[in-house]
Amino acid sequence: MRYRIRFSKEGELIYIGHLDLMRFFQKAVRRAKLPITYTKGFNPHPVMSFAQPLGLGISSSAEYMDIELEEKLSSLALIRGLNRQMCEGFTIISAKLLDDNEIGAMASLAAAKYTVLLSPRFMILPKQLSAFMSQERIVVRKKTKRVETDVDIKPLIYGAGLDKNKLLLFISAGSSNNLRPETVLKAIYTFAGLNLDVDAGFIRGDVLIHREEIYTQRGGAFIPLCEIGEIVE
Amino acid sequence: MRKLALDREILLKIEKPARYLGNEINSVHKELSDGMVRFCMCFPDVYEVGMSHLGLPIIYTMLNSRKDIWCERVYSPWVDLDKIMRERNIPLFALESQDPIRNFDFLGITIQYEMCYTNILQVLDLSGIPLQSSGRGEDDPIVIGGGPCTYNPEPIAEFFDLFYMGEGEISMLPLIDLYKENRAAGGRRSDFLKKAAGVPGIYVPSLYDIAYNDDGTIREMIPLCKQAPRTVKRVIVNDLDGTYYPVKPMIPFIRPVQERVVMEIQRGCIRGCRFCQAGMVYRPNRERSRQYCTKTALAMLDETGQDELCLSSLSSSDYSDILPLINELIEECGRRKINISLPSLRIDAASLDILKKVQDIRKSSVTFAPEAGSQRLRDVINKGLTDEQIINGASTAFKAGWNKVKLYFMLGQPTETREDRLAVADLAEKIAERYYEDISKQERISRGMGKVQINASSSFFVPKPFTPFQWAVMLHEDEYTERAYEVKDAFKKKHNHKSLSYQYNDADITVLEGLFARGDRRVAGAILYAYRHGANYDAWSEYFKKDIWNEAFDTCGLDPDFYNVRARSLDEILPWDFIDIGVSKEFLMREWNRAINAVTSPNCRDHCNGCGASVFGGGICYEV
Repeated sequence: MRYRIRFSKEGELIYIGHLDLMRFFQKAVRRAKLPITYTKGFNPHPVMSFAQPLGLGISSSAEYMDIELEEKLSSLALIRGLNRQMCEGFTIISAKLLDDNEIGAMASLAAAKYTVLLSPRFMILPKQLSAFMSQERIVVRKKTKRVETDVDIKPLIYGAGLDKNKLLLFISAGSSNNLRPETVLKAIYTFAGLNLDVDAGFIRGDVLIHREEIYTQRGGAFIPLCEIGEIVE
Repeated sequence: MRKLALDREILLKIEKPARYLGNEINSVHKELSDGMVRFCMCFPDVYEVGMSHLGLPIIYTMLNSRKDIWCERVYSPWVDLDKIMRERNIPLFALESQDPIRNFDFLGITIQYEMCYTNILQVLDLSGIPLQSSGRGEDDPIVIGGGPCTYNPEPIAEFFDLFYMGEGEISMLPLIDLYKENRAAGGRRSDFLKKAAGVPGIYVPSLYDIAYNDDGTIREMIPLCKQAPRTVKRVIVNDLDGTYYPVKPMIPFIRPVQERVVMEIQRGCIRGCRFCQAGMVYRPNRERSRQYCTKTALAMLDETGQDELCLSSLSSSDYSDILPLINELIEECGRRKINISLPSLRIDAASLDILKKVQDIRKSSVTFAPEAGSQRLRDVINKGLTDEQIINGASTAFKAGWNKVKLYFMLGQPTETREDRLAVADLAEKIAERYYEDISKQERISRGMGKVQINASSSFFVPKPFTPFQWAVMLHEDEYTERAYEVKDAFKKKHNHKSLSYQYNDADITVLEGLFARGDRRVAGAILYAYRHGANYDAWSEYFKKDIWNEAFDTCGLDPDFYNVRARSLDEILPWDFIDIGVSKEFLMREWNRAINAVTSPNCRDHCNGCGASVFGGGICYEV
């Protein structure tokens, strides 16, 4: 039985990296004594996978982990059982049973919504944002180990909005065409002629990023991952 | 929500910020209350190393069991944070509360190896605590050192207010009670230190002076007041089933060097290998009961969710109930899908049977620690392992499916000759030959076993205090390296050289280890100098700065040869003679003489050698 667990990561835990988060959950499911499925061989570990790594320093209310259980448990039992093993900063929000045909969280990932909190120094004006978004192309320089290429990220930005000092971004995510919120932010400042170092701002806390939700794509529509799966009574 | 000592900017600039959060599951967080004693335990190396150590959690658990004590932790900040802390004047803080350590009552430092000495100074320095005991005032924490390096504390004596000789479970709480009493009575720091000298196992360096002879050896260790005893006796726990154990080990967010639950099944060792300090300073051998071990191991696994259990002791095969214990645990762990790690297990048919159940034979090695290549030298060091036992053991392993063997050796041991060194390569070759005899080419193909891999490595012998070899002579750095080349060369010339590999350590650190292991108070100046000129993380080869240490020796007028290479007479007063570990100096001398004549001594179970450890009234000395 495959379950999709949704949890939040915040507070001091933004300083825990993704690999360490995985290790934490591997132990948490053991402590919770969940009837989890293990891999075979000499180093058995719980069968679990995560939707998408979250960068260090970013908080999230939508982290997803798929686990496989040998028995059927109620969603509530699973949520409570795991929450007892959490520390401050991790909260289990939901646990839904997945259909056998459902693709894994990582593979299904298509988009993500972020809220970016900006300090007064890093403020963007609404007219700057709408001008930015009305460009035909938004070209950024993408650097890999070997080459540097120009990429048009406009098709990957599905929505952008401003609520005072909060920038809302709805952008592409996943194994192909992954777009980071920092990249969009840098492009906005460059376009507006503002000489602001996003990476430095992020480190200092002038730019605070929070992942609100992640989405899969079905028949042209974006579905939040929390809507996938069934609650088990 | 508590406030972190490091702000977001720093945490996101440095490597592995989680090292400095102190929010691990099972870490102890308390509300401060009036009169609470604040204790900070320190492992002077980086977090991942410190969190793999068992001793600190034992003390942590014990102290935190008291409502009026809060024990927290600190580890050496990594080099990146160290730099930032100095630039911005951020005082070193305890992890759980994030409060500056200089406000604490005690700073306890566990000293597990000599190469961490500059890290001790780093921790004091970053905390804002005067490096020398003599410079500390009423408001500075009491700095106390424990662990195996206290068996010669003299090179670092001036940096500590107290040392604790022995096992932490005995005198720490009485010491803290004494501290509270003294404080309540309006006593000063110096009053407390004098009173502490009366607590069993406690050594107060400031209450002694050292007088030297003209030839540089020690003439006398002079107590400066009536409270300072001439001898400090080590303390040990007799009933290991009835004492503290970290049943709820902390779960680090960052992967420590060893990520597993550790069950200490016994303390001490019956073998009496003559180079081994642990085998002497943890005598007598004391076991925990099988029931205790099983119950505690499983409880720890429940509390942590770790997927590996390690049974820890100096020589696990000597634990009385080892096979039943392991079989019981294998069954339970198999059910829970937990790996078992069994270091120090003798390689014979019974243990191979077990190892097969818990290890992937294709990936693991069988390990032998002959320490010497020839039987003659093995007899000198009293390592009772014969060529036959090794080769037969390996053969049994090969037939069971293993094709990797690890061999540990030491170079530079007393009486070592060229023949002894060449024998290292000979032994490795004999084991490889046996593999090819045992497993035919056809069988190798059908079983997918391929070539055998014999991986030999050697470290350089450093004589340690309280061993029969404490009078042994060391070599110069280049001589060590030459000997290693000699062995490496011998390996290359072997018929089966493609199946053999040989690695050796750096010799430059060996000189320093020797100096710290058998040095006296005059060494402290060089440690201070080296630290002030940038030495830190000396245990890490990429940070070890040989030039700074050489400069330190020159500037301080310290000659390492005096401590390392000079032949010491048996009646020389050694810096650690004032410590009584139970094992007598007479016994060590007897063993030294037997060693020179290549005469072995039986193990404690076979025959008592009268070492003196029976004075503790327990353990193997009284086993029927």
